[in-house]
This record gives sequence, C-alpha cells and structure tokens, in this order.
Amino acid sequence: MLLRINTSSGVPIYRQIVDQVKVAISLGTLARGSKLPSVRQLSEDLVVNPTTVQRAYLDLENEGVIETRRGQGTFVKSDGDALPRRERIARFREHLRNTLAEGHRLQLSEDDLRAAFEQELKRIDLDQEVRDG
Amino acid sequence: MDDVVVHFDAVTRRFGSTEALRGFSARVPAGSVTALLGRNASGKTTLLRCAVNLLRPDSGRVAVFGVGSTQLGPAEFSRIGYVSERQQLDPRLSVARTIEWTRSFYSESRSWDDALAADLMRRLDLDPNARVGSLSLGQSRKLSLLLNLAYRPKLLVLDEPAANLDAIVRREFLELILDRLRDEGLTALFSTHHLTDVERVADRVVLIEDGRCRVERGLDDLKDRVKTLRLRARDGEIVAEPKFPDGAAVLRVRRTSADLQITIDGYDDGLPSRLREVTGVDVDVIDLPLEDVFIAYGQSHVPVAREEVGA
Repeated sequence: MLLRINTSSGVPIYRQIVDQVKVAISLGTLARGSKLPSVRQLSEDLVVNPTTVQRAYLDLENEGVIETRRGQGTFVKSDGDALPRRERIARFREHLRNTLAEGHRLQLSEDDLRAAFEQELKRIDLDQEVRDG
Repeated sequence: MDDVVVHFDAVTRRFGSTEALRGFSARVPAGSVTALLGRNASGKTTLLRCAVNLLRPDSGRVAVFGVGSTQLGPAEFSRIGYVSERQQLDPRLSVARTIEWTRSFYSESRSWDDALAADLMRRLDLDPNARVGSLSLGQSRKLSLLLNLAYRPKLLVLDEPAANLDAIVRREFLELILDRLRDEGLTALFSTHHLTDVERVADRVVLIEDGRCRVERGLDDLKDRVKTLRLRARDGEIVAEPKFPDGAAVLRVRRTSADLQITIDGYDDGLPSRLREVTGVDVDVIDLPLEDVFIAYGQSHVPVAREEVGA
C-alpha cells in the first residue's frame, strides 16, 4: 500500500490515511479482501505516531470499509463501498468550485465558463475515465 | 490520578525581575506524546527543568508519577529520561567509557539494557572509540539520547532535542522515539520549534504563552476544530461577519478585497452548509497546518482552550 503523508497540508494525518485508503480501494490499487499492514508496521513505514494509525483504522472500520478479524489482522471488506457515488460527486464539486472561482478571478462570464466546460467534457473520453459507474 | 504522568499545577517561577512562569497548569497523560510549543522565551525550558527538579518552582507544584518534583528520588529518576539542548558530558572520555560510566548508575535498579544500548549504538552509527569532545553536535545529541533510552525510562523529557540538527538526524530521532513508543508504553514530553515533526510524532499539544498554558489539546482534535472559513458573496458584495454557534470561538478575522476569512476554533462538518443557508454566500473551508493554528491563536485573545484528559 502506497501512502504519502503531507505534514504541511493542514489535513490531520489520520484523515490523510483514511482518505488515501478509500481512494486506493476505489481505484483498485488496494484490492478488496486484501490484508492491510498492522498498525505497528504502518506507523513505522510512515514515521507517524501509532495512535494516529490506530485512529485511522478505527474510523475506516466504523465506516464499514475495513474489518478486523481476530488473530488474523485487518482486511479490506470485500463488499464495502469505500467511496460511495455521493462522496465522489462531493469531491468533484469541490474541485469544480475552485476552478469556477479561478474563472471568476479571470473575469470570465458564465457563458464563457459553460462553453469551456462543455468543450473539455467532449475532449475527454468519458467511458475511459469513469469507473465503477 | 494514575493516568497522568506529569501534572503541572499553577507553577510560577521568576528569575530576578523576569517572570518565566506565571501560574502554568497542564497535564501529560500516560502514553501520550505531548509537544510543548511556544515562542522563544515563553518559558518552555524553565517548565521542563522544573519537571526534572533542576529548578524549583517558586509556587505551585509539579508532580511526576504522583511524586512532587522536589521529592523525586533515585527510584523515580530511574524511570525518567531527560535530554536537553546543553548536555553535560565529559569531553575527555570515549563514547564507550561514557556509556559504561552511565551504566554504572543503573546497577542497582538493573534497568540498563545492554542489548538495547548496543542496538541504539548501531542504529545511531556512533563510534565507540571516538572522544566525546570530538563529536559533532548531532553525534553528541545522539549519545545523550542513547544514554537516556538504554535504561528504558517510562517518561522521556526532551528539551529542544532537534535544535540545530539537520533533517536527517531529526528524522532518525523521530524514528527512534516512535520505536520506543511502539515497544513500551513510553510517555514523552518534548519542546520543539519543528511543527512538522510535531504533526508526525505528537498526539497532544500544549501551547505556552507568557508563562501560562494557552492551549492544551489532542492534536487531531485541534486540527479538526480549528479551520479558516472563506466567505464570498457571488455578486462581490461585502460579506457581513456571521454569528457562530456557542462553543465556536473566532480566533481571527481578515477582510481581503475578495473575501472574508474567519479562523475559528469549534468547526464541525455541518458548519459550512449551515452558514451557506443562513448567509447565502459561498463558504470554503481551509485546513490549517499547525503553524497557522498557532499564529491564529497567537493573535487572538480567546481564553485557554482546554480539553479534559481522556476526553
């Protein structure tokens, strides 16, 4: 599992771990049913306090993304929905808001923005970009 | 109060006409890594020296493992490690002799761990034959750390352990301390200016300002609750400062030409949508690095932000 911690981003480290695990699952780089490193191992790999990793795993477990099997370790749930459509849309909207704010700063009209959006939308092959519905 | 390892209770200490500590109170829970933060001359070193009885408080009390700091004896000191910026080591001795000499103090408590000492020696890449006087700053700080970890203390007090060290040595220090944490329920209290290190290693933060405790909180709680909100009206009109719910404190308000930026302590995930509804303006949330959290606190007049231990 490839996680990267950014200590200057402002996002608490436990949340960075939670987010990155979810993204890795929804991208398929972290397979469903696969085993996660132990709290100890991950805290060593990332050079962060073990309680931080513990907190992240607890949150992921409460959200039904991962499960702890006694004596065996922590696993990605095989039926879990790491990033529901609702959350993916929310994330996209956040990016879009920033982009639109940039458009405002550049003093573009709403028509300009709409036209640019439509054109970019046509340019990318949507079928390839959108996964898992 | 078994679960509090260090308890500062209304500690005052003056040097001549300077009041270094003015009624400082805070607690270090067992198993926590508590970072003591504050500007230069805010009282950090004085506070840590009081905890290990290198200084006596003028009034108030510091209890370590439930024992008043001025009453600490060999039994307690064999469970406390203390590394400061200025460590007193004999420059004429070799590294190996220094270790042997320190080890002799622990013959009675039998807490010195030879295997751990050897392991630290290897990991820190210390030359046993080098004379202490010839060590670089980083190497002698490493030796101090080794001398204070090898007897497996339960409490580690570190005064600016990373001061003047390069990024690589600092990272080695972090890894070592985290290692000890994983291996045994070590409690650590350390002062530092390196806030990115704090984000990695600490789970609790104490901010000292003018000799008083300003913030005493879990690190995650602090970062989850202190945020900057950017309010922008769509039509470019001036946004009025909104009212925040009870329990949310406004730390800082900045009006720029484009927006109104409000840093608050008491953020929750539902707040932006509630604000959008009430004010009808766009609300963006900015996560703050620890540094910005403290700048916001430093410029505000909000009273002490305290959270119960174990909450």
